[in-house]
Amino acid sequence: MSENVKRLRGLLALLGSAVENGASAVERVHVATAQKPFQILEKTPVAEPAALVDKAHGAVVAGVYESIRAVTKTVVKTLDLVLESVDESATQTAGEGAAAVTAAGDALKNGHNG
Amino acid sequence: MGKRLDQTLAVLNGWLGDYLARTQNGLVTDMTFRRDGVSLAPERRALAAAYPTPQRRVVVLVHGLMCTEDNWRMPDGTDYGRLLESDLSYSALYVRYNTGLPIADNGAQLAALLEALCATFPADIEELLLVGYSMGGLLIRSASHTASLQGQSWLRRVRRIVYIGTPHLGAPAERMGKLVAEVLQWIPNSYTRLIADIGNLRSAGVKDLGHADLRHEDREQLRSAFALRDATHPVPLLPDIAHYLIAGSMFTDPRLALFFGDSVVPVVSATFGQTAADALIPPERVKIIPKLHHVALAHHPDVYAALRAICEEPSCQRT
Repeated sequence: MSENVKRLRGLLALLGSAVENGASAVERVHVATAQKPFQILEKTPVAEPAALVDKAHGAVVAGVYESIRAVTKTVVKTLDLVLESVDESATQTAGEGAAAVTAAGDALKNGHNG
Repeated sequence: MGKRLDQTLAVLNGWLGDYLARTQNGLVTDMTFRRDGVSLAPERRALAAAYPTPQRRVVVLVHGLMCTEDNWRMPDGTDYGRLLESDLSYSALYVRYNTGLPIADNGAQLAALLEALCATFPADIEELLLVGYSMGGLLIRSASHTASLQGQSWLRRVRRIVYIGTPHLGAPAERMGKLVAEVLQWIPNSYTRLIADIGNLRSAGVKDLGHADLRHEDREQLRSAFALRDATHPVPLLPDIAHYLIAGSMFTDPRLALFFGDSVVPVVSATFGQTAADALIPPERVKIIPKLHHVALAHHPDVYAALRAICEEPSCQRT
């Protein structure tokens, strides 16, 4: 694997990890902050409907952050595969180029000898 | 472009290097010798090609946190290694490494690299001079400690070690950062905890600088962020080697210099507590250069003058 592709794949993995961990950290803050008004509402006459809203809110929040993580994982995996295949094609092309140069050199030598 | 990328990767490795190594990330920097912008394997053929006229006196320079060997470059394009080559006939090698790894891990790697160097260098090395800037000095101490425990042969060739701006007793800025993160973590608020988590992302290498932890067991000790390490460090300087300390000081007031030093490393830390009456090192081996901040210590003519004077002294014979 070329050094540049290795670094690009490393950068991609790092970005993916940053988005995933960042989303989880923000989710924790979001959930903790959103809990506060629900905790107050629990002590009021609207506790029952508030609990339902709390549950629905929790499900939506979890779904949104989970989809951010899932999309990131998919994008990172796809780009990683693209980079891997680009690197393989480049290696193959370089190999074919080297073989062509060697063949041309041999042909030239044979021409001179003939 | 290449140098800017190298510098960016050096900063990234300093910040997250232990994570990059743990996850086998392609951005991680491996420890290598460097010469003329390329890596140099410790193999006889590669070294012979890089050093057509190898000298028996070899200087190895180890850079500091978030740096590359380019940090040694002076404004006129030369550096301490090149100058020692031209002025005093040394052969110079530069070490590049992942500054985010624990100092103990980097020290063990450096010890192995120096052992390989002594076995493959095209000339029989008579003297191995080690020069460490900032964290690099701690790496040299950790490597020496490892080599003395394992009986590695390269240590017998070391007569002098020069530490430039090395925080032998730790760096207060890191201890303060740790304290702030602990306080933020302790506050029962999700926002402050998030800030603390971000602060705690710093690498093991950076964390080791707080108390100059040279071994893994040092890091595992529980210490208060306020505690000032006493001068009796658990990993003492090896007695058979002449140790030289060069420190910078931004302040003329001796008390301010003692605690703020070159603005990153206090003089008391860079001189291993040498201001105390029970000095471990002869005072003539301690040089404090005034009006010099931490970054400039790696590439300043006054520091080179001090380094050259050290190298011109007759070296003691190892037993």
